[in-house]
Amino acid sequence: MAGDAVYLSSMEGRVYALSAANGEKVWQFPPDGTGPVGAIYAAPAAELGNLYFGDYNGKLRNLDRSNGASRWEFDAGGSIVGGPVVDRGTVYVGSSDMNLYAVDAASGQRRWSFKAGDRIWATPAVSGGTVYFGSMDHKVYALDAETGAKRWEFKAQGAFTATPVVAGEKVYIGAFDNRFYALNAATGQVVWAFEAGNWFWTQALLDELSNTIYVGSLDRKFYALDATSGAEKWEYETGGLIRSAPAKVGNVVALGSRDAKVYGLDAAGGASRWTYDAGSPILASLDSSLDSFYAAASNQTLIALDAATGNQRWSFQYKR
Amino acid sequence: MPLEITELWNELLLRPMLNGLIVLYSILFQNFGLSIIVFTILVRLVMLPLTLKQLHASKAMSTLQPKLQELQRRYGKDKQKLSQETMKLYREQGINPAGCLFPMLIQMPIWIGLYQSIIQALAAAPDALLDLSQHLYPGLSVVRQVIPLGSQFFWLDLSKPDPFSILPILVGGSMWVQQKMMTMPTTDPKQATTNQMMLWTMPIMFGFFTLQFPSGLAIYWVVSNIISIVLQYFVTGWGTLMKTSPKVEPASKAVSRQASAKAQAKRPVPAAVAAGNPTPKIGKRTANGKPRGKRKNSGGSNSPRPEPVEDQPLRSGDNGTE
Repeated sequence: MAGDAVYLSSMEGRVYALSAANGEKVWQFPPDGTGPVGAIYAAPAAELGNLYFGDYNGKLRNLDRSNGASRWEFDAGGSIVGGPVVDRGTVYVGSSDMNLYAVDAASGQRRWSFKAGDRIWATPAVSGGTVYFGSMDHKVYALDAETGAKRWEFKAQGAFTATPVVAGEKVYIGAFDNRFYALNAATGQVVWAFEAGNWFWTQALLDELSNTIYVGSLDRKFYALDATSGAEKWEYETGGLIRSAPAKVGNVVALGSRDAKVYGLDAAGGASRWTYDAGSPILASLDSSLDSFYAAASNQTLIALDAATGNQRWSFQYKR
Repeated sequence: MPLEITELWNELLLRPMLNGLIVLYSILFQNFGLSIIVFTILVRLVMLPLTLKQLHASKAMSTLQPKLQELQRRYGKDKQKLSQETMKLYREQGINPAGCLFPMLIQMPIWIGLYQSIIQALAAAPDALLDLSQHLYPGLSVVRQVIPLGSQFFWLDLSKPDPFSILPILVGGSMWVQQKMMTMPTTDPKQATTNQMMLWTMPIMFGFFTLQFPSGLAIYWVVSNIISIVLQYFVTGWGTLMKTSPKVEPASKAVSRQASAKAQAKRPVPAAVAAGNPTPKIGKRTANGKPRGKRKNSGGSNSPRPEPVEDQPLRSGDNGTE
C-alpha cells in the first residue's frame, strides 16, 4: 500500500498495481504476453517513484511505480525470498547465497555485501544508520548501513525468517526456537524473550501508543505482548498456522491464518470483532490503509476489507 | 486421502520417521547425507525379519517355477484344472504364494514414509519449510535447533539433483544388479522376454528419476539397493547374476513344442506328477541337489543345458537355478 495504490506481488511471478479505491488494475509486470519472472514471496518496497522487489530466480528489480516499466535489475546470486528495504538511496536485500546486498537505488550497482553463515530469507530493517536482519544461521546481525561492517550479532537456538521491528532502543524479532526476542538495538543483548508453542516465522507489529507487540506464531496463536517486559497481554487461537504479519487500523488488529480466515480482533483485549472467510489460506502479510485491510489469499485473490466491519469492499483475481 | 487417514499416516509413520531422521542429523555431525545412510540402514534393520521372510518365500517360489511351467503347459487350456493343480502343488511343497507378497506389501508404507521424510526434511523452499514446522515434535528441542538442515554432502546439494549425473548411474546400476539377482531363470521365451524387459526398465526408469529428484532421495535408493543386494546374496546367492540363464528356445521351436504339448495333453498325466512323487530321469543328485554324474553342455559353454521338460515327469529337486 503506497499512496492511492496497492502493489501486489504474486508467487506466479507477477507484480500488479491496483487502485486502492476499487481494486482495478493499473498495470502489471511483466506485461501481458510476456512470461512471468520467478516466484515473489515478499511484498515489494515502494519509495518515491520506484518499486523494488526480489524474485526466487535471484533478481532484484526496480520498476517505475507509475507504469511498471523496468528500470534496472540486479543479480543477487541466489533465490530471494525476503523483500528489499530502501533507505537513503540504498536498497538492502538478502539472498539464499547467504549474502546481504546493499545496492545503489538509482543505478542498481552493488555497494557492498555481507556474508552470513546460511541463507537470508528475511527482509532486513534499517534504523539509525544500522541494518538489522536475521539469517538461517540462527543469528541476527546489525551492520553499518554505509559500509556493511558488523556492529554485533546475536545467536539464538533457531533460524530467523522474520523481519525485525526496530523501535526506540530495541529490536523485536521471533525465531524458529519458538522464542520471540527483544534485543538491545545497540549491543544485541537479550532484553526479554517470550516462548510460544512453535516457530515465529513472520514480522511483528509494534503499537507504540499501547506499548504492545502483536505477533502470530506457527502454533496457530496470535499473541499480544507488553513491549517493555514481554509479558503476555492476551492470546487468540486460530484454526491454522500464522505466517502472515498483522496490520492495525484504529482499535482493530487483523491477522490472516492458514485456516483461510482473516480475523479482526479488539486490539486492547483480543476479543473477536469479525471474521472473514477468504476460502483459501492466508499466508501473505496483511497491509492496511486508513480504513481498510488488504489480504492476499492463496487462491490468487486480493481482498480489501472494511476495517471496522470486516465486510468485503472489493476483490481482485489475478492470473493463475 | 481422507483427512483422518492422512492424520493417521502422519502420526504413525511420517512424524516418527521425520523426527528420527533429524535427531540423527543432530548426532551425526549435522551431516544430512550421513543421516540418510544411517537412517536407511536402521529402517532396513527393523524391517529385516519381513525382508528375510519375503526373500525365503521368493526363493521357495523360484524352485517351483519349472513345475508351474509344466502345469501351465499341461493344463493351460483348462483354467480350473490348472488352478487346482497349482494349489495342490503349493500345498505339497508347503508354500504360501502370498508369502512373498505380504511382507512386501507391509513394507510399502515404510518406503513411502521414508521417501516423504527425506523430501520433507530437506525442505528447500519456504512452503516446504512451513510444512515441516507442523510435523516436528514440540518437546524435541534438538530438532528445532538444527533446522534448516545443511544439504551439502560431498559434491551434492541433497535438495537438488546430482549435477554430474553420477548418482543416476549408481541408482540404475545397483538396481540392475538387484533385479538380475532376483530374476528367475526360465526356458519360456515369453517369460524370458518379460524378465529382460523388467531387468532394464526399472533401473533405467529410476536412473531417469534420479536425474530430476533431490539427490538425498537418490542416496536412499543406492543404500537401499545395496542392502537388498547383500541380503539377497545371503539368502539366494548371486542368482542369475553370476550364471548364464538357461538357453531360451527360438520362437519356432516353442511353437512346435506347444503343438506337441497339445497332443500330449490328451494323454493321461503321469501318476508321479499328480502325486508329487518325482522320478529322477537323468543322473543322480547328491544330498545338496548337485548332480553327481556328468552332464552334457551345449557348445562347450559352462552354462547348464536345461533338460527338455515336455517329456519328463517333474522332479522335486528342480529349482531352475542350479
